[in-house]
Amino acid sequence: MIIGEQKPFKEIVRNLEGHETILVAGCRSCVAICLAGGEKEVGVLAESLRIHSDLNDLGWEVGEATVERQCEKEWVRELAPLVEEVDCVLSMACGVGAQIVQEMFPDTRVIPGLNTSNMGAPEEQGIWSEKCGGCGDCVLHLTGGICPMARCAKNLLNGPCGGSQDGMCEIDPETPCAWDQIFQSLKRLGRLDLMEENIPPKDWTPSRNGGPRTIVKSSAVLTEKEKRAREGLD
Amino acid sequence: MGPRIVGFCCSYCGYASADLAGRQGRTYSPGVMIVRLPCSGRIDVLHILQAFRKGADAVFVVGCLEDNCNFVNGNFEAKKRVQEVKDILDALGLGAGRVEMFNVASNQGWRFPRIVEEMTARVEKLGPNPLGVIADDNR
Amino acid sequence: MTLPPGSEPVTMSSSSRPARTRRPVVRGEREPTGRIGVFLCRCGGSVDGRLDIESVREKVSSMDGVEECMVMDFPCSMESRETIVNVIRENDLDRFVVAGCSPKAVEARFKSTAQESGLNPYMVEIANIREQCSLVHNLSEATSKAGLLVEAAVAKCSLLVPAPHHRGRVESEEVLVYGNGMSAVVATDELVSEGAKVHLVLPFSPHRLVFNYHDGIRPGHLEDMRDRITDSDLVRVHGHSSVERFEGEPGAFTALVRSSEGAEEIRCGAAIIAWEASEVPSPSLNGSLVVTQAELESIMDQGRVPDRTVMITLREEDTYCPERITHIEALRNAIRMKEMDPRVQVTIVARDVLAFGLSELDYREAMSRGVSFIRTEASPLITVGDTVKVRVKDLNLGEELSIETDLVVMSSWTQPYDTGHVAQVFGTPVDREGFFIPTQVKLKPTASIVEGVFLCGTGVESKTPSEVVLEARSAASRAKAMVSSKMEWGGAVAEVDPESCSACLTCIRSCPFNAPFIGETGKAEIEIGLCQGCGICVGLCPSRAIQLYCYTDGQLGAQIGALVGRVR
Repeated sequence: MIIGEQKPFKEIVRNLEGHETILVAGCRSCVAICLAGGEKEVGVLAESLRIHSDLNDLGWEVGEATVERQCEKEWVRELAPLVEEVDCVLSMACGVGAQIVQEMFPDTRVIPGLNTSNMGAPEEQGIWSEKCGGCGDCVLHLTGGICPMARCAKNLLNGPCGGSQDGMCEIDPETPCAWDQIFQSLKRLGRLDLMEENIPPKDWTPSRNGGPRTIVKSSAVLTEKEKRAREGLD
Repeated sequence: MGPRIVGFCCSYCGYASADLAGRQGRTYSPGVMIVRLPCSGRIDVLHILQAFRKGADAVFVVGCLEDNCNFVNGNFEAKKRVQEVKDILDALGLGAGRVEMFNVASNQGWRFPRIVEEMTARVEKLGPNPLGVIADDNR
Repeated sequence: MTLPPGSEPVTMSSSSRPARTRRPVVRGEREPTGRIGVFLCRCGGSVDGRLDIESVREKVSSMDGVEECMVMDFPCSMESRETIVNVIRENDLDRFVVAGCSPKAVEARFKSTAQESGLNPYMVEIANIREQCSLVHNLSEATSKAGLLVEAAVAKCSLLVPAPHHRGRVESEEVLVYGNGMSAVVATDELVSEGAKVHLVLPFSPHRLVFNYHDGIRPGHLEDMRDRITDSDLVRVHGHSSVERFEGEPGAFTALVRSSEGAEEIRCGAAIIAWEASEVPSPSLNGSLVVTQAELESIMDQGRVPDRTVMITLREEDTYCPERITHIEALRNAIRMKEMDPRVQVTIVARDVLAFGLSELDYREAMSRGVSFIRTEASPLITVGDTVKVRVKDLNLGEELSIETDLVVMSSWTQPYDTGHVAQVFGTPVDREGFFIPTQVKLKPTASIVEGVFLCGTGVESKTPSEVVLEARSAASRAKAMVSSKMEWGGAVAEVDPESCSACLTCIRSCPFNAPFIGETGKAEIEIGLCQGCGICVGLCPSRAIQLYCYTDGQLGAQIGALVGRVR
């Protein structure tokens, strides 16, 4: 899932400068699960902001609302009556959610409350590690299920660099060397032959560097006639 | 009445030590208001913040001695949450010292007034909560 | 939805647990009306007399929702209870506040008063205006504080909702004892003596159970016990069997017992896992000159005691971690040897002598009887010839000693076997070495995290034989008490609102009692029978989907607001 972390309180307060009526908007999806922007964190942050306002006589009005997924327009639309009352929305969702809120409410400033970090998974409760690089050209079948884009600091494709020491990455003695892990995994799977398969230099077009990506599943897209049949319902 | 302090006490050791203090004829500042919890692990960061927003000068959470929690992990959880509140209070400029976690045994009636004394001393040092604008008869 | 594979099987619930958040409505409880009664207690002068109870009454009477507010002498007395019941009925109250002494003293009483009045027993709030008010402050302070405390109790009470609760159904008063040694026999014996029917499941034939214990236990005593219980009408022995499946709730468990003849489903109200760890023999043993402590005891039973003995309490491997009873055992046997013949030489080789509790007295006695102690770090070298030579580096002298001796006694280490499988079936966790983890040794001995399943034996922790007996009897007692009592489930328990739940697994990972699980709907549910009402999960839930009856966020917020409330 998407992993994010709440911005430091002082930074949030600084970014809210100039606003007086604030809606703190949370999401029940990824950011709730990584304990950064769910209803609970929204509640705590909102109360903290109210205390800050009271202490400094700012006269802020701070509201709270949490939707199922902030990346889906139908759910974000539910916020409309609340957004009407405020001059800014502090989005506690990931960067995606924050942008959808802005799209849905183009006249109300949206301020991010989170730093969205990566696509990862919990190692244990409270600790999340980056797993997927989102490169758009997955080679996990060749790397024993370990992503060299996300987990190798240099994004190497064909083996470790000279800095790999005792299975650890040279940038941090606590970070495992992804290629050492790949080697161990392929060994366990009995497929060390795959290490000899050369992964060619990366074509970065399917990745971020080719511009913002759009994925289309044509069988799911509503045809014009289908859309017309729903006119007035949405 | 003295500084307004909210004490969240677990039903086992915390609350019992406060009861015992009463039965032992001890005295402490009447500004201390005790809220009973089933376990200190029930404490929520939000409740403590609410107390401060309403004007509490200090908040303490009392749980059982570590490794003696009737619910095994409650007091460890409470400690983590109190730490979270400390960080928020620092960021707000109110002072982390206003909130504290204590671990007591139910037969330590003598500790309860000491806890109150410590928190009162901290309020003296940090000053009253600026949000504690209270009509005199309420104090 | 099944939980992710690879998660520790013994601490996370698996999909084999059906969705069963039971919330039967208790018939006869009134519909909520929101009308509150307040009963202030004079408490024989410890309240009235130390604060102005009348002014508190006046203040509270004017509160919204308070239909009746009265001062009574002792609301907890029989006469007063009748009055309260009548007041509730006449005024159509559906909840009440009692302000007086500590809820720890009177809560249960007023819960039953509520029930007598036809109310849900959890619609009562107790305000402590005695131990935490009238006894600790002066008159005017206590009076104003009492006003606030009762106000806060009323504010909280107005938000109370009837909590789900039901009588545990005891469908079977039989107890399942699953074990492999002494504790199983003792537990069964205790159950039989209390009149309980027992299913004794053993991985082998009962005749394979032999006992070579001392520690005050008469030889043959345990064999007699074993024979007695296998002959008893109350005991059904399942030899060469194992428990393959275990599910249900306290009072109504079902276990699948498999033997070579097939599988059989049995019902029981409680279960006891009575597992012994096995002795890991030291590689140096040779049966005659290098023996275990137990073998030494046999030698002494025959009336013999060697002239020179060296006891070694260190392990041969590098990992030094003495068992709990290593030194207790050694000291006890050393003293016995000196009692039999004060002239013999006894030397104990140790890194530290861990004699705790009363064993500390044994340590002193051993020293005063002339037992020598050699402090060392590494395991000594033993050479066996006609006699035995022990080479050990004495830390105090800083030199290596070569000791010729007639007998070397090696302390044993224990290792539990097959506990992983047992743990998985019953849902009771084991640690890395395979020992069963009890839930709270000091407050709930012999309890496991699964309500209704009890633990005893050296498979939990190494202990002396007399401790094994004691613990097994304790587990049996508790199991019998449980199935014989009126169990009540529910009350101030946690509940998940599935609409808000994100299925993030946080509650499942954090509960010390394994109460939350992912139900058939794919959302978290709390097993009422297991929930202890601590509220740890409530504060952790990132989607605020869990609330705790009688301590909801709203109720606590109202309480805090009334206690601190400022004018702004």
